[in-house]
Amino acid sequence: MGNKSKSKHRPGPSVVDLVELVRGHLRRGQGEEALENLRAAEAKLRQATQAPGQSPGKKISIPPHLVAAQNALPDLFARARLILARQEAEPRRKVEHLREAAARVPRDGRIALALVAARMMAGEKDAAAADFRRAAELLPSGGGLAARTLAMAALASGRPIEAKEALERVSPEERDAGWQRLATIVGLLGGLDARIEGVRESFPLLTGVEHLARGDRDAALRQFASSLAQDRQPTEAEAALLTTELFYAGAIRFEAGEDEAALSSLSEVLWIASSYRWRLPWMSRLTALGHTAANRLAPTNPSLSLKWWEAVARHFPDDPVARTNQALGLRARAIKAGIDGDFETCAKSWDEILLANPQNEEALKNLALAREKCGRPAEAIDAWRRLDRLWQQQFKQRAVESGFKERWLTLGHHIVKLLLDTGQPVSEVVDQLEAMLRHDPENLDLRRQAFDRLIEIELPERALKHLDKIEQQDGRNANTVVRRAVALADADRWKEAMSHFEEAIALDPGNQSFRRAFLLFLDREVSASLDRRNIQRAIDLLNRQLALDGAYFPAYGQLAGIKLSAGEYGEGKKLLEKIAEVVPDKWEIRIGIAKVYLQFDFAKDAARHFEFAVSLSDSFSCLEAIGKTYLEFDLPGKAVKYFDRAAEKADVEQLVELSNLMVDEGRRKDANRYLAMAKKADPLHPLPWLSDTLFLLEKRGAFLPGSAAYRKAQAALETAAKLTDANPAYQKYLEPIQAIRDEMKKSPVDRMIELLDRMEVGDDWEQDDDDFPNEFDSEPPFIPPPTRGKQRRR
Amino acid sequence: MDEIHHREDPYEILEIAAGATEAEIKQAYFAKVRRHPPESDPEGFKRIRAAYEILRSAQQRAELDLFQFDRRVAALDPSQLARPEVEAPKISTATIKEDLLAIEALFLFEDVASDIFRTER
Repeated sequence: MGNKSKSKHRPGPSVVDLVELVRGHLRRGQGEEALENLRAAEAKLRQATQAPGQSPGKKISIPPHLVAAQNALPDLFARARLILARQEAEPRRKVEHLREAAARVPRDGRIALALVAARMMAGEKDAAAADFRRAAELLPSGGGLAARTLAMAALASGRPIEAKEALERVSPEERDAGWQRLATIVGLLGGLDARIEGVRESFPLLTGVEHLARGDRDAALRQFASSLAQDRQPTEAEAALLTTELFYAGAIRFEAGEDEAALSSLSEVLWIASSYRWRLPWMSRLTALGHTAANRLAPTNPSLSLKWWEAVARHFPDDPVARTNQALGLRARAIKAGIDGDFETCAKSWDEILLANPQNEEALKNLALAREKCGRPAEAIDAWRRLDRLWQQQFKQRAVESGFKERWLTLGHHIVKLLLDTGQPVSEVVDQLEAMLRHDPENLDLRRQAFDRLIEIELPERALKHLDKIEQQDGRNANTVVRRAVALADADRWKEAMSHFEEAIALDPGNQSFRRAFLLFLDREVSASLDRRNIQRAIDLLNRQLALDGAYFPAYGQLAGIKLSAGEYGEGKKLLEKIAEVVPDKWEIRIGIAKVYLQFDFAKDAARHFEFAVSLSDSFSCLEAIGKTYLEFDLPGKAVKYFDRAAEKADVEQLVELSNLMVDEGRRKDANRYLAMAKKADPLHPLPWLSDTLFLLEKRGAFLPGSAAYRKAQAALETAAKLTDANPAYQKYLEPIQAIRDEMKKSPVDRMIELLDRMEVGDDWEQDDDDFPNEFDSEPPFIPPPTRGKQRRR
Repeated sequence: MDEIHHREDPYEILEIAAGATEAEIKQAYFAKVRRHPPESDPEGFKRIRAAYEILRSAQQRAELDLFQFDRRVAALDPSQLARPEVEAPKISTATIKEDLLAIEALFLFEDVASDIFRTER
């Protein structure tokens, strides 16, 4: 739509546009981008100046703007190449760029000079001299730069006097810092005859070198050190000068046998040099010096040596000495750290070694150990498992190796132990055990462990397979039979389980744990039978239980229940009394018996057993349990009698518990009574006031913020809050208090809806008048100011 | 894990390598006992005996090998270190000259390049 007028082929930027783009790139130092656009411009120009179908060489008319562009291209190409040469660290590649530049602008004397300089850096003295001759032809008037280039070329070719003469021809106005420096060098390297009058500047490097030449190493060192304390951002060349000084300082120390000082200097040199784009001749000597010093230092200061190797490996990844020695140094550091107790360093070092060689056995073992020592067992398991997998792969070849199998088994057991200690899934333990069994299938202990764990995670069929193998190896006995019975029971193969249990008991009648296991199995079967209403089977199984253990009271209880349900009250009661006979001294059992009696409306018998329970234990727990039992059977009056007795022994929290029970029963008066007792028992305890608040909030009237119930609830809450603040021991009530506050901030309608949601069918609102105000109301207590600790702000 | 980190190393006491066979362990033990008989060196004999008991028990030896940092492993054996192919040359007039000229070439290059970019064509 509306695009019909647009051409399908976009023409792209014109030659002029491209040239403008290139100028922008050059201003921003973007050599590659500039080159790319220059090539595009060149191609377009070629197309424009050679019409299709024409024979080559035929003249065509070129528009002026294209002519201008065509004329500009060589210089732009040269500048792009110059930028790239500047950015290039490697001297030979610098030379390549500048050769390309010189090819584009063969008449540019300065490009030629730049090429000479690059060749000097690359050590191409002869080519430099040839290029200089060309440059000299192009710059006949000379100038400072040309003179310096000539002097350098001469000096490099061993002609210091010619160098001196070239420099002397430079007019005083042009004798800049570069001239001064080169003049100093000429004098230094060329001897007295090459010294030039009027050389003013002293350069620390050159002065230091002068001292070196005289054999005064200390003075040289002092000179180098003095210039290093610079506080400015050097240019690339200045940085080269400074770093060279540092290098010489390091080299002097190296030659003096001061390896530590030498290595420190050389490390710094390496670090600085890596951030610049130059390559100087001494850099090839740097690593040789450093490696020699590091090797000499390694026995006494391995960490410094290791730092050196790491630094070299980082900057020169292909350096074989650094690579090999770094690995050795890392190992040494790891071992030393382990022995010295620096387990974090130990773990880190071994981990680093494993990056290069993930199957390094020594590293895996030590890494795992170190991680355990650092208190990181889960990470240790990972390393141990890697070692375990490695040894499993090697098992066939190494099984004959002395101690290998024992080490591997010990490792496996250790992994199992760690898995269990760290709460890992039992399935992982099983996997570990089964992996060990693959290589050690005759190991009965492992099999038994595997069996037990599989039972634990309810995989009985898999467990049975191990049991089969155990029996094949070790024969069948009572232990294997009962294990099989347990597995079969878990697999719901109850008939087989039953017969195996019977067999196990027959083989070892005195074994109590067998009996226990059988009894538990029969319990399950009894429940299943009762669920299926197979009463006779349940009775048979219960009798079997009693045959196994005449004091097994749950069986009596179940039988009694069956008999009573069938109307056989005499039999039923007899069985219940038998329980009391068999377990005479447990009040819980008496309450259980009483409960059964209550189920069948034998209230007097129940009461008798309840009292017997109390005679065994006149404790809050017992009395409360009795009360709760009565509540279960909807006998609140009787329940309260026992709760009253319990209340006499209760502490505050227990009294509040009783109060809550009464609220659940709808017995507000009793609830208030117990709450009042709680408040009296400990007036400074916040819990009763908190409960009070909750009770009050459930009143119908409490939905309206202005209502008396609401205000009272608020007052109770504030009392609870103040009591909580006054005693750090009650910090746990801060959260519920805040929760209630938040609740009370909700709109009345929301609160009402929430309460309605919570109410069950048949429930009714708390009447406003019910116990409100209640006869047990009390004034808030006097709260003493806090004696210690900060008050928690709400 | 059996903590035997701080005890003496049985391998060190018997002066044998970690991978020693049972026969080698026995041999080393007897050799040591000959040098430290109980009558003349009861303490030494006790140490040697204790070391031997650990190493001849497959289980204890396995635990030792697995759960202890090996103190005997040479921290850094200088003889194993790789050496540079070429020896580091000493500072000499030739090396100084080479370095100075290279730095000068760098300065010159920078100055020429700056000069070119300073002037507009």
